[in-house]
Amino acid sequence: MLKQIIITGLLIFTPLFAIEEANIKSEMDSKIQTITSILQDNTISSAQKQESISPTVDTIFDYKTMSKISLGKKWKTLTTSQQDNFSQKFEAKLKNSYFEKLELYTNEKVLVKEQTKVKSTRIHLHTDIIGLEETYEIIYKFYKVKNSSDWLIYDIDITGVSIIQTYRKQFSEFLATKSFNELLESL
Amino acid sequence: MKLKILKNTVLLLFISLFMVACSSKESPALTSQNSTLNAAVSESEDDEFDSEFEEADKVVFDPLEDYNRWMTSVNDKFYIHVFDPVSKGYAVVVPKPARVGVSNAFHNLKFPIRFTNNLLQFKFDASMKELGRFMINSTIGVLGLFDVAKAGGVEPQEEDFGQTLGHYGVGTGFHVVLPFLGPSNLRDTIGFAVDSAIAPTTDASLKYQIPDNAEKALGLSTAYYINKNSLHPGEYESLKKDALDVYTFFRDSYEQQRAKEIEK
Repeated sequence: MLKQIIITGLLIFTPLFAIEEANIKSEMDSKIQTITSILQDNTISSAQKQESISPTVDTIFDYKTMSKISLGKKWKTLTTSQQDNFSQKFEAKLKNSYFEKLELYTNEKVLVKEQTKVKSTRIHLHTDIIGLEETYEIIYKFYKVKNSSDWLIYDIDITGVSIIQTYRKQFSEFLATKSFNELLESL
Repeated sequence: MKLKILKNTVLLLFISLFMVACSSKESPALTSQNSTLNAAVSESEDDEFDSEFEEADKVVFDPLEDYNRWMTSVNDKFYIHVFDPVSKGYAVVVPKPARVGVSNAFHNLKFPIRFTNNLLQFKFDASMKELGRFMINSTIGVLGLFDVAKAGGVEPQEEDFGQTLGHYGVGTGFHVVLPFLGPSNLRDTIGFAVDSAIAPTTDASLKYQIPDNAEKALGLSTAYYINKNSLHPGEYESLKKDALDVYTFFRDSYEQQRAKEIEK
């Protein structure tokens, strides 16, 4: 019970804005610690876990940009309401998929390694998930928000596979033969 | 499998590989990132993302698509109805620590593949790490059952012959879905055949190889895959749910992952 109170406290005081460059590693480290301690708590249901984890990731995941990149050139041809509609559905899909992956979590250790600035507007944060027999590298990719000092996540690389690139490819192949509305329905 | 037949197959595949290698030259995001680095000032945010993800906009050369799709669904049915239930049953009988031990032992046995391919790429540091890991894990780690080297901070240095070919600029060739084994491409299929020939877990009549006939070799590799799958329950199903099109999803994920591994 005490643990839950502490976690809830942590969540409330997690700042509701993007991270500054110097704080990326430490912020992500504490966020990942928060998430793993929620996941390890056997006293709460998985629905409650999702509810507690959501605010931790929502502040740093830029779902809108993810939606935009994943649709590629198609994005600009859409009306604002179509864009919003798509973003909403895509965000829900990403979250669903993310929480489903978390269900597979079984006490693996997460190690936040180094943050590398690949260019002036991009930072990659390298992390390792250490499983019983294998280690998986996960890279969180941040971009610098225009005219600010804030950084947000626009993509995640899981063992060399970019989530957003994979969706972009899937969507463009889907749209080559089917309509945008059909895509919305399939999400 | 007779070594001679294997040799001929490898030779044949090689010839066909070089005929198609040119058609799918790999140009990963690296080059585009360099060019955007210079143009970053004048470029808008959208263009920057577009060039970073341009790999996804390319049309994939996929002459075997019809066969691949069919094989993907065959593999999928086999996985769901046979392979997964078997590994679940196995997981009930064999406790997890034992399965991790088996996994470690198999990994340790495949040392010649990693060692040789590190050497072939002139990665001497990595080869020495592999050699050290093999010596420590085979002795103190009780025939590889315990990965004591990893616990001591010496991580495995994964390399295979597909990566070695890629390292020297051999293109992927076309994508091919292998029976039971899943996504691969022409280059990696050749790599797999070559690696299998030197692995102690297969039978190519080399002195150190454990199985002395094809059936035993097949049995051993079946055991390997069942044990491996038992340690990753639900992963395949969970990944599959992310796909709009299961075949292209696994094809593209596979190719992305291999490109990254070769870059390392």
